[in-house]
Amino acid sequence: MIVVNLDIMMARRHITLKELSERVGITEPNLSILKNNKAKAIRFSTLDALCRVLDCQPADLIAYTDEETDENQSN
Amino acid sequence: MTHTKSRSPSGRRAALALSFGLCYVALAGVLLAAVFLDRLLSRYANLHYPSGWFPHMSRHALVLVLLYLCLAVAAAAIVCLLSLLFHVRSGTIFTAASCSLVTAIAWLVIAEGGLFALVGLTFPLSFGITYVSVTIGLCLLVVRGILKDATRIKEENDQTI
Repeated sequence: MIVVNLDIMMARRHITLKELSERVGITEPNLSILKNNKAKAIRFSTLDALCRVLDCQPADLIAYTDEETDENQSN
Repeated sequence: MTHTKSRSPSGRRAALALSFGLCYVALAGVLLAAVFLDRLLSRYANLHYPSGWFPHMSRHALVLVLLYLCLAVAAAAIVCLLSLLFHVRSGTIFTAASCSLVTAIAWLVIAEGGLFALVGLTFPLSFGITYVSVTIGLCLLVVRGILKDATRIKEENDQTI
């Protein structure tokens, strides 16, 4: 499963959702969808804009987790 | 480079208005037919003899019941069509609700064909209506499949940030 760590990066850079949406050029509802892992896909242009504004790498924003491994560890 | 000609807003509004108008005319026709059906059937067909299947019932009554069922199914299909047009007007075409409405209209039209097949045992020309209804119903089932795919693609596109 792909996990979006946008909220972690936003907290590190001390930036609100409203400010990020204004600087990236994406609406707040869409950024919220991305932040809450409800998005089905992300465009490279969006990833590029987020990395530029948050001064980070794509790997800081998106990560892969193995759902089965996570479930076994929690049990 | 391919260009797709999009309809102008006024053209779209005119097409929608025409569709709504035709639906309301069809619904009015169904209601009128329901009111005058008995009189019309008595005037143009002499069916006052026992029916083969139900000896206690005259052929006239049997055909009348079948035709009223046809009118009820037709009214239901027109109401579903009107709901679909409201969806089109509000711009929410590619939704699960629209797919359900198209499915309902398809099956209602096929059912209408089935009922007219029964009426065709008395009035053979009704088999023509059966053929047309079943064909339209099948076409609508194909359209339903296409609409389902389009809805899935749109949903995926909407959730692409």
